[in-house]
Amino acid sequence: MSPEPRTLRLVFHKRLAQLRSEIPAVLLAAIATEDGLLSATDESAEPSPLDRRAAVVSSLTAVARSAARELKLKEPRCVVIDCRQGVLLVRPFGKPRKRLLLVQLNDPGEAGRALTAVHALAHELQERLAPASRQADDAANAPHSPADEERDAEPGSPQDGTSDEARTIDAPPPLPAPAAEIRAA
Amino acid sequence: MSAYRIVFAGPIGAGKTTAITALSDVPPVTTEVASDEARAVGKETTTVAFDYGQLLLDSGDLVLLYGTPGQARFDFMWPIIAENAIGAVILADNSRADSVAQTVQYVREFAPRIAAGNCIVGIGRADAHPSPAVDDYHDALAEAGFQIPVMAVDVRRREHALLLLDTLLARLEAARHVI
Repeated sequence: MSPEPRTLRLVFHKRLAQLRSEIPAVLLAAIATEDGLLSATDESAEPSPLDRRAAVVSSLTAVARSAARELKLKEPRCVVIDCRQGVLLVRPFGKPRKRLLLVQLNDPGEAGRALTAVHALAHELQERLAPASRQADDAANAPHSPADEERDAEPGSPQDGTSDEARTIDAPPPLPAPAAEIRAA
Repeated sequence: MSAYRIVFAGPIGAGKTTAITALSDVPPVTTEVASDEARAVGKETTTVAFDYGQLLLDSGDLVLLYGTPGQARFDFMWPIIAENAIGAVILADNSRADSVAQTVQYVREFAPRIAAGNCIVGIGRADAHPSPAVDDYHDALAEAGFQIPVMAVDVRRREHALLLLDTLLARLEAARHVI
C-alpha cells in the first residue's frame, strides 16, 4: 500500500540521504503524504507506510494549519518543535498534492542551517513535481478519448504504479545540479 | 453555563465530520486533507487530527463536539480527544462487510475512555444497505458486554444527528452523571 510510485520514492530517498550527509545533526529525514503515510526516509525508499511518525506529523501539521487559519496567518511554511533533546522540522510542500518533509535533529544549534536546507530541498522537489502537476491538471481538463485509455494502460502509466510525477522526475533536464546528480545516481 | 465534551468516533467515511458540521452552531474547525484512502470510500478528504464544533442547548449549556480521525494509525489522537468526554457517538457504515465487528471494536476502544462508558451507535447508509440490521448490532454489542442504544441515522440531516445527541444526553441524565 505504498503511497507513492517506486521511482518517486527512490528520488526522495536519495535526496533525503544527501540532506543527512550534509547536516550530521540530522537523525531522521523523511517524506510523508499529507494524510499520514510514510513515503521515504533517508535510510530507505520503502519504509512501512504505516510508520506511526508519519501519522503524528500529519496530525501535527493539520493542527498547525488550523491554528494558523484561526490567527489569520495563512498557510504554515514550516512547523518547528524545539525540544530538550532535539528539534523537529516539518515542511509541507507540493501542489495540488501536498507532502510533508520532516527532519529530526539532535543538535538545536544546527536548527537554523537545517531549516535553510529543508526549505531549499522542499522548494527543489516542488519545482520538479510542478510540471507533472500541470500535466495532470491538463489531462484532467482535456476531453477523454479511447486513445487516451489505450495510452494510459501502457507501461509507465499511472496504472502500472509509475505516475506522471515520477516520469517527470526521471525526464531529462533542465534541472539544477543536485537534481541531475540524483538522476545519474 | 456548563460545557460538556462529546466525541464522535468510527471508521473513515462513517460521517463524523458530516455529523459535527450538521450539528455545530459555529463553522466547525476541521483538519481534513486530500487522501487516496478517502477516495476509496467515495470521499476526497479525510480527517487527520480532529474536528471541532459547538452546540448551544436550550438549557444554556454548551456541548463541545469533537471528531476523531478514523484510521487506526491516528489512534494516538483518540485518548487526547476523548479525555474528559461525557459521551461518545460511534458511527458505523453499514455498506461495509465488517461493519458490526468494526463497531464493536470502536465501542471497546472508546467506552473505557468515556465517563461511565456512555456511548450510542448510529448506523449510516442503512437505507441503501439494510443488512446487517439494528438487531445484529445490538446482539453483537450485548455479546461483548455493552448495553447501548443503536439507531439507523443519516447524519447529513441535522434532525438525525440531533436525535443521536438527544438520546445520548437523555441517557446521561437518566444515569445522573452530569446533566
